Amino acid sequence: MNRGMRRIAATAATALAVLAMAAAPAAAQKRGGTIVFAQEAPPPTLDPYFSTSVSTRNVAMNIFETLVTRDENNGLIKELAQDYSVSADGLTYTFALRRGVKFHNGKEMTSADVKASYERYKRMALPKVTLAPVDAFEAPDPYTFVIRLKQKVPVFLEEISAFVSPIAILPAEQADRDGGKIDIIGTGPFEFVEWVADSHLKLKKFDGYKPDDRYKGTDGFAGRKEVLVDMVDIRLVKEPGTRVAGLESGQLHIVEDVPTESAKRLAGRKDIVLYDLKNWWLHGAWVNHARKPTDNLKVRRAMQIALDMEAIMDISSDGAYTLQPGIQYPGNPYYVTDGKELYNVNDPKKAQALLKEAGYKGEEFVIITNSSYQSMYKAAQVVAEQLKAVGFKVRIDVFDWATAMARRKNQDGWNLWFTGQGTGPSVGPFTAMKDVVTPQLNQFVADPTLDKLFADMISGETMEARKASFGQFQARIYDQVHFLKFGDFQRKQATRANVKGYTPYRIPRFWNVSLEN
Amino acid sequence: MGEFILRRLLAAIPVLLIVTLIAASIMQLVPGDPAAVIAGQGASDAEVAQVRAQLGLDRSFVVRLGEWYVGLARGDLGHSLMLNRSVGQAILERVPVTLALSGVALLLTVLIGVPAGVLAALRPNSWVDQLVLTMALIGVSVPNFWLSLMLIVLFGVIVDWLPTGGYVPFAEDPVEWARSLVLPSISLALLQIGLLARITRATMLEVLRNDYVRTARAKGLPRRMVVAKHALKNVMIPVVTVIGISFGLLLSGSVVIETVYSIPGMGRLLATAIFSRDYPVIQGGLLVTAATLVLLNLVVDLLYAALDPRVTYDRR
Repeated sequence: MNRGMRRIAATAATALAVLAMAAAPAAAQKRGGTIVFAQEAPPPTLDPYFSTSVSTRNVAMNIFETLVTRDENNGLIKELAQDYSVSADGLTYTFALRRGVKFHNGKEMTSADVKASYERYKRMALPKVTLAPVDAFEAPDPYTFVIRLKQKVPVFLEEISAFVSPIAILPAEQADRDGGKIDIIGTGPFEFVEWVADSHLKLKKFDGYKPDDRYKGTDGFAGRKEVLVDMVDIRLVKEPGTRVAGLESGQLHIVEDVPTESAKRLAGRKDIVLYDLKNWWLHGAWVNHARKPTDNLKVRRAMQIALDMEAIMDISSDGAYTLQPGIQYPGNPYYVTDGKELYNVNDPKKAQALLKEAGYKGEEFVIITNSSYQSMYKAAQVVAEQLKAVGFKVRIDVFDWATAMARRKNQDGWNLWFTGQGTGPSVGPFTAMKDVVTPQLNQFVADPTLDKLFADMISGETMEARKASFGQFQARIYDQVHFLKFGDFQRKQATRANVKGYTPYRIPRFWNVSLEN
Repeated sequence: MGEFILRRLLAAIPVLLIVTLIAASIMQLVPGDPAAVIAGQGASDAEVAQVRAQLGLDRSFVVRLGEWYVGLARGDLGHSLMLNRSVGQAILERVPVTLALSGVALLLTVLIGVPAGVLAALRPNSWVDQLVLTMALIGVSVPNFWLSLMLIVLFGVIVDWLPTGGYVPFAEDPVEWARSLVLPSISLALLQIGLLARITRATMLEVLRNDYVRTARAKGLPRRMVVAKHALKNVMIPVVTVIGISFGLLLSGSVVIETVYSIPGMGRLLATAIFSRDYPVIQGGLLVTAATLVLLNLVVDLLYAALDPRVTYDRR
């Protein structure tokens, strides 16, 4: 080869290399390594049908997948379903399944697995009522799954895509297992390795996972999921100070909950990236309509208009909050602001006058809150002071969470019961507000108008009709003071700067996330 | 001696049964429901009731407790409601962790507490004595969760020598195992060091005033020999008692330290179980803790005999 030829060859090689680099941007992402993620609470179980808790979902949603799920804005999105159709009478739902989807045990997922999973869900899942209207599940061929309903349920797809207790597809052999007794085998991008209670959980990349090429990138619980790391080490770190110290020293890569005060301190650091997870948690309290003095609407109104939500939220969230009246998050398909004129009125004088008019005679007003969730504890303290200031005689009972839950059922034991909802409002109004309609009735006294509006909300033929009913429903909640909404929490999350591709969401998603050196 | 040990072990059986009965009954009196914890915050009453039925918690307390005792007779401590494993397995996973942590903490306590107490007693009211007493006071009064966080910030973040939390099993990596125990065992030991130093000092002062010490000195024995050979052995009786109690406290779980450092030991197991009302784990965990304390007391009693020839357990 003469010198000229050699030069041409070298130039061509360089050009090829440049072209190759430009054509494959994904290849530039570093692969491999172990992401160390810190989670506050231990999951009570990893069986997704058997718990509604965030700590279960954090882990389970990286292991399991569903036919249909929710996208980044909580809208409907297909996952294991290639496609679906609904018959004209609204009674038959036919799902074409994606082909070549493998379980972590190596077996291909077919309609037999989907049918068995839906049957198990209908038999024992916590929200099994979702599938109560089902007449039959059918698997006419390996890639088709059919659901036949007894009666029309316009919101059926919204309900089966809800992820509070997701209808994860499990291998058919597990259909007879009781709650909490399944082997942790799904079709998701990560497979389960080990769970050492109170210490950590380990997941590893599932080599048989084929990303869903219908999508470009991360989209809610679905999308194109590509695993760029070898392992995920989920550490259970209860103490916030330890979580932050672990992040600062680089021993933890992603922390799901950073205290606001620590976030302020970390803000300037180059080796740490902070994220705001908006619409994380809706903060409020149930109102007892059966016990004096809140059995009187005027007293409830006085309480409602006395409150200064800004002070309550500022103190209970350490400054990370948004004030908005909706019981859905802004941006959600069902978001409305009906009833807003009764939100954050903050008029103590008017409240005092109303309390007098109601004939309030100083009956004890009992608040139940808990020490397990500091935000609820702090909010209760502020609310108590604001109510005392307008003339209520307030007593606060503080319990741990399990005791507070047990006390809630005692209708003579409280007037205001402090709570919060994280996932409910993001799934849709049916999940968020089922607690104030028959049969749950956290306020103990049924409101037939509210029940009727709830029924309309579920049976509305179109999205517009359902949303209109929900608007009236929310206005009714404000009007009758069935629930006191304080505001929405934001959550501060943080990663080390070498964690790339992380987007905050309702669960930490470990797919499409890479670790640089 | 053998008969003594056997008698003590047999006497422990009713004690342990009463401990489990009390633990189980108290947990029944405390409101709260494991089903509600499993079902999660958003679950309705109907959903919680469903979990309760599936876990068999809808049966009466007496029936469940009876079943538990029948299982216990077969050596089965039951199945955890939350941890997806048997109680026996959950405890077996935790015991080595707690043993390692308390063992290292005890070692630090004895190695520092006893010499510091002796030193202080030998020079009462000197600067050494004042220093030991001040350090002991600090050790006893500084809240150990605060101390832990300060140690984490200093050694885990600022100088970055040690891990900020977590536990690595010895079999996995002995060096990391040792590193993961340094800060927690210091945090745990500090209070015990303070207590032990003060007890040792007080006892030593008393022993040094005894006639036999004065006699030994009068015979012309060097002071070092008097202290090491005559006084120290007599100091050890109360000190061993305190060490026994300390070890018992360390073993029964250092909930705070284990939580701050995210160490999966017995303390955290029990605390989590209590908050989530995981009844089988609470009963099994308390049974094991109580049994350990009974054994430890026995060991302490046997040590008395070894240290003091006047103590004997054989019937005459």
